[in-house]
Parts: sequence; structure tokens; C-alpha cells
Amino acid sequence: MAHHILRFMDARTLCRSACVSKRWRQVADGNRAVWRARLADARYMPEPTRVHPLCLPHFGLGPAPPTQGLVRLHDDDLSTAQLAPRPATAAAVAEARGGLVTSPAEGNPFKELFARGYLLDRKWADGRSRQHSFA
Amino acid sequence: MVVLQSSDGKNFTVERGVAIQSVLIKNLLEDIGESDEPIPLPNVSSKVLEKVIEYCEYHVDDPSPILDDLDEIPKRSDDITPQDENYMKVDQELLFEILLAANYMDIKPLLELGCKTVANMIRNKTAQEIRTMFNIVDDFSPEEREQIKKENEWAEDH
Repeated sequence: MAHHILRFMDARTLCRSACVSKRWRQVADGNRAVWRARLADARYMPEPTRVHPLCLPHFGLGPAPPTQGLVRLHDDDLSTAQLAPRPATAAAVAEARGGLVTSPAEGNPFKELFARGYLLDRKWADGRSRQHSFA
Repeated sequence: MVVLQSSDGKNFTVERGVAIQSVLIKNLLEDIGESDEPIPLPNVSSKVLEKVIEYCEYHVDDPSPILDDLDEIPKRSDDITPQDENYMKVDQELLFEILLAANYMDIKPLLELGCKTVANMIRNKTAQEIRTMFNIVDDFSPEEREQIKKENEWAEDH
């Protein structure tokens, strides 16, 4: 029944519901289908066909590619781990909004993706972008 | 005519068109054929059944719902007609009993209406307001509460 009700909720309501109690959090955060749908409504969802395969992990859409074949930028202290793509996590989200890095999120990738898209949209809307020129 | 019997033994005689909005009853009638015997609904009290029948009578001329997958996720819950909104103005206990009955009797439009109504009740409420509304105990530890707040505050207006 809870699942049926969630289907009619927007992202903010889902987030507030997740803060109500342990059980509510489990239900609201655990529902990938509804977050995926909200993501699709908001068009934050990258189309897999238009994303370079190596970039898919950035969108939580594929496994991390092998990094061994990549060209090392520096020979000294750059490890391959640092070249590996960063997965979409709550930490990345917190970083994106300039806050402190929070604890690792337990995974609803669609919620995390939504949060990223939402924050990015807000930044554009707020005019918090700067124009860079090479001239 | 079809006779429906509530859990407390009360009989309700309704038109066939009204009764078969419940897929449960529709299938049952197809299986057993027409009969004067009352159909027992052991999970539905007379108070709730009366309310459910009221809905089915009002919507008897509606076209049968498009058989979409219930897992398809709709976008909105603000498309309730004033009549339906009025119908749903009941106390919380009865609202949830109607939801359960709609689920049990398999009346999808009524189930949808109930779920939308509950979703609308929750919308624009803070976590504390939701707890108060549904009598829910906040069982997070202070650390968990802090973490969850951080995890979800992006959705709030800044």
C-alpha cells in the first residue's frame, strides 16, 4: 500500500518522508522505481545512448571501466585510483553544493542522480555560473 | 442485481454494473454465474462497504479504466474531481479502511483516488507534521537524524 501511495509523491515530499522514521526512510529511499520516474519527469536522466561508454559510471549507468589502459598524466604520485571515475554519491552531492562531505549514502542511485540534477538546475537558475573566456 | 454481504452480516443489493467495478466480484460472478446468494466480503465492514458502494454507484457510467500496469508511475495527484475530493472527506481511519477495501476488492480507480488523497495529505508537510498527523514515533538516534537531515536538505528551498 505504501508503494502505491509513493507513486504520487514529488521529490521534496519523498525527502521529507524519508526523515519521518526508520521505517518511512526504508520505504521512501528504498523505492527505486519512483525515484527513477521522478528523474525521468525532470529530465535529469542522461540518455544512455548519448553518453560515452567510459562516462556511464558517472551517471550510475554502468560498471567502472578498467583504468589500467588509461594514459597516466604524471608519472610520480598520481595513482590509477585517482583516475577512476567518481561514482555518484551523497558525498559528491554535498560537495557539489559546496557543503561538507557527508557520510556515504546507502544506495538509491536514482535519488542521488535526482539530487545532482536538481542542484545543478538550481545553480543555473540562481545565476551562480560564471562565464569563462579564452580571449 | 447482486447481493454483497459485509463482514458483520449486512446485505447490500446493488446493480450488476455497480458490483462489477470490483474486479474481485466481476471474476467471482464469471466463475459462479448469476445467483441470488449473497457474496460474502469477510474483510469489509458494512460501514466501509456502504462507502465503497457509494463510489461505485457514482462512477457506474465511467468507461472501464485503461488496463495500465499499476507499476507505471504517474506524475501528479492534483487531478481529483471536486466530487471525488468531497467523497474522500472522511476521517483518517475510514480513509485507510476504504484503501484496504479497494485493494482487496480490486477497484483500481478507488485505490488510485485513495492513494492520491493520502499523498496530498503528506505533501508540503514537514517530517514533524507528518509524524503528528499519523501518530508516528521518531525512532532515529540524534546522529542518524543529523545525517538524514543532511542527506535530504537539498530538496528544501534555500
